Amino acid sequence: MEMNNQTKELFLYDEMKRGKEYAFDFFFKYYYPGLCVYAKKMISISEQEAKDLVQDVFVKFWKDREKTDIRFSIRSYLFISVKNKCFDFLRKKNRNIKIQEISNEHDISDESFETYVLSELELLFTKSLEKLPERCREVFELSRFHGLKNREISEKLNISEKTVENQVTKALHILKEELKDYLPLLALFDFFHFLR
Amino acid sequence: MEDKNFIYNLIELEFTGGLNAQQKEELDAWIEMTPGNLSEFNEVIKLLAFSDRLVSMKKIDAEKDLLLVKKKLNPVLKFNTWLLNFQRVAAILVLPLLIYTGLTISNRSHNNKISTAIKSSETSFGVRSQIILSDGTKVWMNSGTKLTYPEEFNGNYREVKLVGEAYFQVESDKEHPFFVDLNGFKVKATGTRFNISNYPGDNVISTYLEHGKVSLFAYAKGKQQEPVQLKENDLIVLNKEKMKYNIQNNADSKKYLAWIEGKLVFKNDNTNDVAMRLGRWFNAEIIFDEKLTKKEYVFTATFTHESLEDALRLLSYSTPISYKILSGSQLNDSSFSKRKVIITKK
Repeated sequence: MEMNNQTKELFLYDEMKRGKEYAFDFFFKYYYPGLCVYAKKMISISEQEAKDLVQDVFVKFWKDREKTDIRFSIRSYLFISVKNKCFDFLRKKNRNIKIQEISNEHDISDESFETYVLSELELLFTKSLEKLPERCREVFELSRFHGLKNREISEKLNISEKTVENQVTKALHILKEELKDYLPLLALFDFFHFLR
Repeated sequence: MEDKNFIYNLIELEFTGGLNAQQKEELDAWIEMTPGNLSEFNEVIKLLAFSDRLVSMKKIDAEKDLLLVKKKLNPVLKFNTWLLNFQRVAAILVLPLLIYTGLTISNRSHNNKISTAIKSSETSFGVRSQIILSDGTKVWMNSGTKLTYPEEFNGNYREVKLVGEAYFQVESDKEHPFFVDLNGFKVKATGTRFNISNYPGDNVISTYLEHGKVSLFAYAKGKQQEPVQLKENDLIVLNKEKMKYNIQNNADSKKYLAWIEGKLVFKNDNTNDVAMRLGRWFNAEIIFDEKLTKKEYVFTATFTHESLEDALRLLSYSTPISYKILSGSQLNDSSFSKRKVIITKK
């Protein structure tokens, strides 16, 4: 994320503190989808539970706007608020888990949330997908974004299942190189639900 | 390629959780073959996780849920259409900040909105705070003060209600004059800095104008009296009962504005004034002995971080007084009553 965006966010935050709703709307629309997915993944809850939890965070974000003062990063603030809210949620469910609370915005870098912002991740993917040959891209999108099985893709595109497999492998191979810089940003819980 | 296909297929299955025992063995064997394989496995898994995440995020309808949140925030109000909001946000992201700021200032409009909720902010005794109103006006509230204001200003003027003491830095907007309602009296300002003290226990309202233009209106029997216009550095002290006022030109700003910086300043103040202000500052009841109030003693002192005890000790060095502090007693609701201070002549 460029410094410039962070400055803009702090400006919008200032606007929000002055009671300007459009600034709140911006933060909501920009971060809500990512925050929901983040909460859902982190503590393995239903999508609805995750949504409720994130909405509560935003309600507080607006209500406490005069009391709160964020000087560094709105992004970190929102993600950490959701994270702590998730831990509260678990505590209420009375599970015997030892939880270490994250108390401020310093211990997680801003970058690790980058891939949790819909428009930013989309941009990353769009750029990388452009590097794929036409057919390869089509197969990959059907497979990963539309959730089609290889057999279904082969029927739809009238190609052999073997070709579908080849194309998916090729796509993964190219994308892996293209997105190399961003892959380390994924944390472990992103693909293994550690509280299953 | 054949081999890669086979392995990548296994990784996909591992990711979706559909790997059987034999396939698991085959995959593990491949991973353990070289360290390069392990990192390749990790990268592919992560890539799959990324694409999965993108799909999950796209499924979430932020616009729809934003309405839900607004209902939670304020069930009665209708909010602005979001098309407008979206355009404004789009503008901010595309245009440089400066151009955007210019635009909103020229587009500012308070007339076409529905009325918004009334809010209030209070400071308890001994506590000072600062708030910013929706038009950007900054208000510093002294101890024991209540400010009532709309969440969003609309209509042709801006109005807040004050009980206690506050310093205002009013955001300039000539088309929407700023009023401070003082229960029967009103202060009108356009783009100014001024201090108003209007404590319920006082029989006077005092307004000090630091910068800009301010006029004071009084409403007697529902009728507006001739307003009094203040000049910079004027202090107007209005007696609420007698409806008489007194203007002091070139008043000392330090004396009336020092509290904003956390200072309590006395300059040739009489016992009455000292008792009142010292009491509010430290949340205590200050009682001067008759021998002191009868004679016209005046006090001059500045306090910053001192405690009540320190302040009294310092006063007793420079003036012929001695004091006694009676600690507060616990009340039924488990809060404490104010401390009492009795000040006598040495």
